[in-house]
Amino acid sequence: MSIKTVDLKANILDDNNVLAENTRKKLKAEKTFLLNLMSAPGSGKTTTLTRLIEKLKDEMKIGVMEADIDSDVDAIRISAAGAKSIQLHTGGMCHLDADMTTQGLDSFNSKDFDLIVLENVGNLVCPAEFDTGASKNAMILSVPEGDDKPLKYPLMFQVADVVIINKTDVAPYFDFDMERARKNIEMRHPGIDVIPVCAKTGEGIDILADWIRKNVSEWNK
Amino acid sequence: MHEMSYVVRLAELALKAAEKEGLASVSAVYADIGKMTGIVPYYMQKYYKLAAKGTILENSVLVLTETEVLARCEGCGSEYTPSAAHDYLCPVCGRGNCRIIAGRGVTLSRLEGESKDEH
Repeated sequence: MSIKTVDLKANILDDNNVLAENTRKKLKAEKTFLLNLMSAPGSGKTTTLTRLIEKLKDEMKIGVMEADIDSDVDAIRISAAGAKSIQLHTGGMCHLDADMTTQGLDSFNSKDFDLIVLENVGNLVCPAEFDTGASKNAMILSVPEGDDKPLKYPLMFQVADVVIINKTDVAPYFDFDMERARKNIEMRHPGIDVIPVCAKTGEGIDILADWIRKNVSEWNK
Repeated sequence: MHEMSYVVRLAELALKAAEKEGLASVSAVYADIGKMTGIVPYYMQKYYKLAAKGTILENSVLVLTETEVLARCEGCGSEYTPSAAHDYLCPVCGRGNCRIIAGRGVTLSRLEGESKDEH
């Protein structure tokens, strides 16, 4: 036996990144837009989605993949709003990776849809690290979380293509300064789209729906 | 929080590389951890023992090196480590546009072990 040293420079996430890139190519060919929706727990992902589905369900075929550690309460709400949904149980994992996403897409027959939303696990840290193969990343920042979140979770705001600021109706009660929030987001990700909404009242959902329409049509070009 | 998924991937990658290189056993696995990744080395070590159990990695040590975050300013081209002291902006020109060029993710950098063959 002899001692041997092997020098490598292997990125641990290379496999994941390759799979994610393949998924993106496949979805592009199928003309299916995959939106990876990320946020902290309780920021209103499912409520925002049900509002969006109401706006868009007559013009595009929508599917939702719900990633939760357990339970199917969100999937039931999505079905009631008029979109097909499946539940991806992550088995305790704090994020989705490209492999889990691909499995979900396969069981879903992704080519039958124009828009698939991947509702990632509620968490601002890990989901930002793992490319899922989505066409675009969206993140929801809700008012009660505070306007300083972009300072605390820089990577999440860097990987996002759009930030949806939800629960704008309660801003006066939470010392949430919209301008300060915009400034902090811009600092992390210059030029990013920021869309304030109130999913409860429906305010701003039209603008968000337009963002989806624009991105879906660009994806299909 | 996500150390487990990194450790499982790291062990898989190390095993694959060890097999390819004809190692009978591995004594050390070296990996670089980007500071931006938010990984806690303590938990990496703890989970590594579990992931290595029953494999040729079982008696190996995991040597972790943290790598600093490095950004390149899209405006003036300066390279800097973002810090709260200047609001994470470029310390030279004050712009926020930058590309993170180092300090993300986990890299398997080196393996040490005993090779199978005598010759």
